[in-house]
Amino acid sequence: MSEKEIVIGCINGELKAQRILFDRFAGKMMTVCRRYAGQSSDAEDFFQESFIRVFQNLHQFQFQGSLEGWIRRVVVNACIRQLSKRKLTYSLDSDSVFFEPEVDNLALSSLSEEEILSWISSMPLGYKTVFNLVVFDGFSHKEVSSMMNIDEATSRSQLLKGRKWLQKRVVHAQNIKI
Amino acid sequence: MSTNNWEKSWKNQLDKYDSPVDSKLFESIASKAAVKSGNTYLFGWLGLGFAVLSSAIIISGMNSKSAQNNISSEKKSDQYQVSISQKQSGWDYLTTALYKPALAHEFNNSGKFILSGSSQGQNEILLNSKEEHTNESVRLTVKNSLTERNPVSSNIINVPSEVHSELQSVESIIASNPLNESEKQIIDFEDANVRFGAAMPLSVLFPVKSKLKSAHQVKILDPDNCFNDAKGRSSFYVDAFVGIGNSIRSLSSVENQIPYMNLRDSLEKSWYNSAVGARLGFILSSGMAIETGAEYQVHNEIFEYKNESEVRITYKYHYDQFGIVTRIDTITELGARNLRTHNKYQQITIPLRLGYTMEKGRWMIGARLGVGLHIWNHQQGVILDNTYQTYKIEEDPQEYFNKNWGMQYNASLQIGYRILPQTFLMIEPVWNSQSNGITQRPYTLEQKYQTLRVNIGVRFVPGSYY
Repeated sequence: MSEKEIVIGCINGELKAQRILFDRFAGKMMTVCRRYAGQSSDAEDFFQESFIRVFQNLHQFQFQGSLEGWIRRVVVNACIRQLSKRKLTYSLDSDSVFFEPEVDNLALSSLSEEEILSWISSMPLGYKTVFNLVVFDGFSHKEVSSMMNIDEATSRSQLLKGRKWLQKRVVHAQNIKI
Repeated sequence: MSTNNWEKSWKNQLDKYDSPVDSKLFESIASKAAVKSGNTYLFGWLGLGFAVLSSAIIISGMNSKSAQNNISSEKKSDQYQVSISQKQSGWDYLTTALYKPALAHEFNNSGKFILSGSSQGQNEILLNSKEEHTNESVRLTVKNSLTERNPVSSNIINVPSEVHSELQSVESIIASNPLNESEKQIIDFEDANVRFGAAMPLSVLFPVKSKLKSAHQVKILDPDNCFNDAKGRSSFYVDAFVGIGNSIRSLSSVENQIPYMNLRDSLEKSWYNSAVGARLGFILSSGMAIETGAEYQVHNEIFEYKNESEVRITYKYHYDQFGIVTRIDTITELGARNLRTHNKYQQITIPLRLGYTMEKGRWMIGARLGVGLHIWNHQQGVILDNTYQTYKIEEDPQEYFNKNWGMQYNASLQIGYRILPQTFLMIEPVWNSQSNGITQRPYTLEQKYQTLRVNIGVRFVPGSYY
């Protein structure tokens, strides 16, 4: 079944086509949801809401660009919508702001996918959301500021803090001497 | 490695990474997506109906506002002449009423306005309503009912009690302002503030500036042939009906289950279709009509199952004093089983239909064509499932039947007879056909219905002027 046939089948409400689309992209999209969610139960909620939106809005896909990219965008937007229902706080904890260890970045790059997801999901919500949007999903700070209704400066500082927060804890966890 | 490099590395890793997903999530997502999609259709459907009706109201209101009414009254020797000219939507109307004051009229205690006369003379009211554009006119002469062999029914008019006293006050105004016979006078009866309803067309007999809003309110029509000029008017209507007819069921095999399909067909017989509903509609001045509403219908069937060699297995459990099972007896019984049930397939449908309506005399005839959205489906009874076992549909563990949405096409012919000024008695042969079955896709058969039914009901036309 070609990608176009799958999309048309889904638009027509065919369970078989929906199942194929689900099987093809569910794993990757669950990874996206896990990045944004703190707990696995949240990730499942995000995932369900995201895929419902995918099925409902598939008729808007114009076959321009990749289907995966379109679905990923829908999923990210659904995650942000879910997060916006919660009150995001943007921490100003100073211990990590000025902490600039000379880390062995090779250690950071050698983590497994599950370890990376575990570290990201344990980040404070504000850091995590901006870090995800900028680093993984390629949004600019201007776009983040409008999506999250925050200043661009706040977006930049949250990214910086999130980055330091990760470096500090990952390095400590791996007992790497600074 | 710079900061950006480990981030890029993480991004590359996670972009390709498939997290484990519980496959049961798919069923939940698919069903929720279908329900939400259905909700979207429903709201869209209702929104469309609302938008159309709102537009009709606005257009009707604009027409009403654009109407220009001029009323003048003139006394000519022994009679009053009332002239009402109107301009509405580019059409000119002129209505004149000649009222001979010799004609006595009174209100009795039961709120009837009675035109009465004596054997010595003949009371007479001459009315003429004319559409200038087409030069079509409607004339009415009402003569003294007491001297006529066949009294004219419109001589007796229902007068709402609250109007009664106001009419009397108008009488007193007329009495205290005698008209000069030699010159034409324009009388302003604004103070009278009479609220003549549209159901009282003879109100124009009084030289009163009633709250005329559209041309149709001043047209005085022959009671026996008063619907000829139905064109040129827009109005809402409300229908209420009940209906009974036949459901024609069709089963088709989705997965080459012909023997099973034939068996089900032989065990289940269509009985009858019944329906009840209400509609709101709007007829444009051109006769075009749009209507929507809600309709509840039931496809009734009889399921008859006979098995001469039915095997029934029951298990009898024996417990000790601690409640622990010590023995299980298996009891096998062989016998005949006869089962007869009344199966019901119920639906609530929201129709959206377009059509055309014509009126002639007291008769009305219209045709409608449209679609309907089944917003609720419910089934009860017993059928044979595809393992050839009987099962209760209500329990529906197999989820054979669709509980959610569906579409139908429908067409009907509406024939009405006006029994009251604002009310038609209506009979309506209806055909409808489901575009998709009431069964769900995983089931091996698709079950659909076509319906031929006759609805009987009433059509109420608020503000009717006939």
